[in-house]
Amino acid sequence: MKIKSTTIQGFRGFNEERTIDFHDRLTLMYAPNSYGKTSISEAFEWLLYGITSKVDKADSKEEYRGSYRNCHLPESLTPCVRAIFVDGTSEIEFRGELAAGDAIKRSIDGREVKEWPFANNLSLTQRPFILQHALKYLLLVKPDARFQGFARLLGLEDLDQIQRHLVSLCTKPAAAIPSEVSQLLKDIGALEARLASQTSLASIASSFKRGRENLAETYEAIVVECRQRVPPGTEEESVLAQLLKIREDAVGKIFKARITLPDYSVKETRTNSDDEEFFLGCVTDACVGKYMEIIALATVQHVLDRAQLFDLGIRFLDKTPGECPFCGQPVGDALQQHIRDEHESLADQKKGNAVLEKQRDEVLNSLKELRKRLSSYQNRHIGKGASLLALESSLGQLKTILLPKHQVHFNTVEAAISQLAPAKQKLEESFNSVIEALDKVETSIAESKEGSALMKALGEVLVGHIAVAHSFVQVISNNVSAMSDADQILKHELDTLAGTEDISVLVDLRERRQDIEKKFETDDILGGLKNLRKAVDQYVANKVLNAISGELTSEVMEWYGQIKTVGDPDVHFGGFDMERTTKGELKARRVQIKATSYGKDLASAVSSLSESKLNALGLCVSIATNLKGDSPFEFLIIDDPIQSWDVEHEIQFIEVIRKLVERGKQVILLSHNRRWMEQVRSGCRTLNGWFYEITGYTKAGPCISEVPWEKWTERLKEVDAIVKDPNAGSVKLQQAEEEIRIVIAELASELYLKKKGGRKSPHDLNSTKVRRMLVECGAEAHLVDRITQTFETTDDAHHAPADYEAQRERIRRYHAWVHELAQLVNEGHTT
Amino acid sequence: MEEISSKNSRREEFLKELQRELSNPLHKRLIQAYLGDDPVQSMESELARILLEVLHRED
Repeated sequence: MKIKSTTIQGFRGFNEERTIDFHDRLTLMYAPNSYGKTSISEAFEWLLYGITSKVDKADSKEEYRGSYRNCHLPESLTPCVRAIFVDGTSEIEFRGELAAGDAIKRSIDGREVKEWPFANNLSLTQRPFILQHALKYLLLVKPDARFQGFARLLGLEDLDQIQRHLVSLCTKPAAAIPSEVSQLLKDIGALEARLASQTSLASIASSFKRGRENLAETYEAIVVECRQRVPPGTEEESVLAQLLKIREDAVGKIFKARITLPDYSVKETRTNSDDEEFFLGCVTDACVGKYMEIIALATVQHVLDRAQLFDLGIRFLDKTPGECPFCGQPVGDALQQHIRDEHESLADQKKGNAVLEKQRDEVLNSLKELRKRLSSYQNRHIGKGASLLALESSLGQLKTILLPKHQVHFNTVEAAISQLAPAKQKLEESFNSVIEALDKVETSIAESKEGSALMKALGEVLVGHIAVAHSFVQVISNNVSAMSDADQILKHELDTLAGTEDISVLVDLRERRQDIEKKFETDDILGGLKNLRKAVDQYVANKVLNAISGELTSEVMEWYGQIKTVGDPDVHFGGFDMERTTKGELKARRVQIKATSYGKDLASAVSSLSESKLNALGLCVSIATNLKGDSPFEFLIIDDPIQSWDVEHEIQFIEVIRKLVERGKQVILLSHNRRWMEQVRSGCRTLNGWFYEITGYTKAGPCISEVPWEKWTERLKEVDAIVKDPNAGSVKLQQAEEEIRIVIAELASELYLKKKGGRKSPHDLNSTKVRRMLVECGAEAHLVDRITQTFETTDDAHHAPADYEAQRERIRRYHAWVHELAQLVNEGHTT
Repeated sequence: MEEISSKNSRREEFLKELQRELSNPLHKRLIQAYLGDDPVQSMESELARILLEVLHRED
C-alpha cells in the first residue's frame, strides 16, 4: 500500500484541516524546526498504530497525556487524521478520530472498524518510519535498552518480555513464596544461627552447612551429641524425652510460659471461608422463603385437631353406627355420610401438612448445623489468640527476662496483646449477638411465630460477625511473625539463663528434622531458579543471535556500504553479534555492534564510530529491517535523517534514497535542511517527485506550499536536448514526452490560478481535466485541441500504451505547442 | 483479535521450544503456567504451589 494523500485536522501541530498529496515515488518536505513537520509523520504513526513512538517510549505516558489534540482546535471539533491509501488500483480511506483517553476510533471508507485489516502484521513487522530520535534508542543507549530496541526492530518483543518476566521470577521470587514457607525458612534459618553460636556443637554446624546431601551424616552427629547429655544407659527412644525434661526442669525454674501466636494454616483459612459461605447460605432469600412458609403449619393446627377428633368419631361410628358417641341420640344416614366425607377431606389435608412438616425439620436442621459451625468457627478464632492472651498475667515477669536487651520484642508482645484483647472481646460480643438472633429464630418456629424480621436480623448479625472475625484474623496475621521472633528470643534468653541452649538446639534439631529437610528442598528449588534463568538467557540470546547475525548483518552492511565514506580513518561497522563471557557463553541481553579498523576488530562500534557513522548505521539498521518481513506498507517516511552528519555522508545518503525508490518504496522525506533537500531534488531529478515547503507556522497550523520540482523552462531545455541528441533512445524520448506533460500540467494549473483565482493541483491532471481548465480560462480552441493531443500517448496514470512508439517529430511538435501555452500564461492573452 | 491470537501463537511457540530445552520438571511446570492467561500471576502461583507441596508433604 502506498499513500496518495493525507488530511490532518486538530492533531499535534495541525489545527485547521490541511491536505497533502504524495508522489508515488518521492515526496520531499522541507520545514525549519518547529514548523509542524514532525506532526505529519506522527499523524501517520498514530493513524496506523494508535500511538506515536514518542509517547510509546516515554518514561511517563502521563507526561504526554492529551498531547495529540492541538491546543487551538475549537472544542466542538474532533482531532482527526485521514489517509487515502492505494492498494494496486483501488483506493481506501483510513480515518482515525481521537477518542477519550487519547484512544483512536478507526473507520475504513466511512465504516467503523475495531482494528485495521492488516493489524495482524503490524506487530510483527517494522514500522514504516525512520525517525531520527528513534536511533538513540537503538545504539546510544545502555545495553539493556539496546537489546529491547533490537527486539522491537526484529519483531522479537515477545522474547524480550518472556525473558524479563522469567528472570524477574528467578531473581526475585520472594513475592511468590507463601508466608507459611517463608516462616519455615526463617525458623530453620534462626535454628541454624543458634546452632552456629554453640561452640560445643561446631561439628554439627559444619555438617549442617553442607546441606541436603549431608543430612544423614548431620543427624548421626546429632545423635552422638544428644547421648552425651543424657544419663548413661538411656534408651535411644527415651533420649529426646530425657533432653526435654532436663531443659524444662532448668528453664521452668525461671519462666514457664511461651509467646505463642500461631497463624492460620491454608486448611484453616479454607475452612473459615467454607463456614462463612455456609453462614450466608442460611439466610439467603430462598432460605427465608422456606422459613416463612412453615408459618402455615400454625394455621393448620386446627385442622390437625379436627382430624384427630374425626378419627375418634369414626371409630365410635364404626362400633355403634347410627348413635352419637357424646349423647347416644340417633344419627341419621345423611349426617353419618357427612361425617365420613369430612373425615376423608381432613385426611387429605393432613398429607399436605406432612410436606410442610418436613420443610420445618429441614429448616431446624439447617439452623442446628449453623449453630454447630458457628461454634467451631468461633473456637477456631478464639483458640488462636488464647495462648498469647494467657501471657497477659505474666507480662511483668516476661519484662524482667527480656529487658533491657530485648525491649523492642517485649513492646511488640505487649502491643499484640493490647490489640488482640479488644479484638477477642468484639468477636465474643458479635458471636453472642448471632446466638441470640439464632435462638429467636428457633423459638419462633417452636412457637409458630415465624417472622421475616427475625431472619433478617440473623442475616445482619451474621454478616457483621464475619466482618469482625476478619478483623480478628488480620490482628493475628499482623502479629504472627513478630511473636514468633519474640518467642525465639525468649527461648534463647531462658536457655542462656538456664544454661541449656545446646540442649535446646539439639532438641529443636531432632524435633524439626522434617522441617529441616523441607527447608533444604525449598532452598534447592529456589536455588534451582538460577539454572532456569541461565537456560532462559541462553535460549533468548541464541534466538536474537540468529536474528541479528547472518542475514541482518549482511543487509545492514549492504546499506552501510552505500553511505560509508572513504575520506576518514577506516573505522567502520563490522556486523552484529551477542557479547560472550570468557567461557564463550552468550551474555544475556547484550547485543554487540562490532567495528573494524583497517581490517582489525575493535571492541565496540558504539565507542569507536563517530556520531556521524553511528547515525548512518542506525539508519541502515532501520532501512534493512524495514525491507525485511511481510510489511503491508510500500511507503517509508524518513524524518530528518541527516542530523549530525558530515557533508560526505549527506551526499551518499541521496543515493540510498534513489535505491529505496528503485526497490519499489514510496519515500516521503522530511528535513529541516533546505540545502540538503535541494541536493536530494537534484540528485533524484529524474524521479520527478514533489517538493513541499512549510513556509510559516500560525495558530491555524503549518503553511504548506508546493515548490515545482524543476522550473518548466529547464524541463523544456531538457526536452530540446533529448530531441536534438541523435543517440537518445526510446527510453529517453519517452522521458521527454513525460517532461512535456509535467510542464503542461504545471502551466495549466498556473493559468487557472491567474484566470480563475483557484488552485488546481497539477499532480492529477489528465487530458479531460486540462481541456476543461483551458476552456474555462478562455484558451483558443485550436490550442486546447493541440494541448490535449499531447496526452494521447499516455493514460491517466501516465503509463504508455502497449503500442507506444517514440517519435522525435511528434515530440518536437508537442514542444512547440507547449511554448504556445507558456506564452498564453505569460501574456495572459485570451480571445 | 487476530493480532492477539497471532502474537499469542508466536509467544506460545517460543515457550514450548524453551520448555523442550529444559530438563528440570519443576521448571517445565513454571513455563507451562506462564503459557496460560495472566502469565506472570500464573507462574508465581505455580511456584507457590510447588513450594506448598513440599511444605505439606507427609513423609
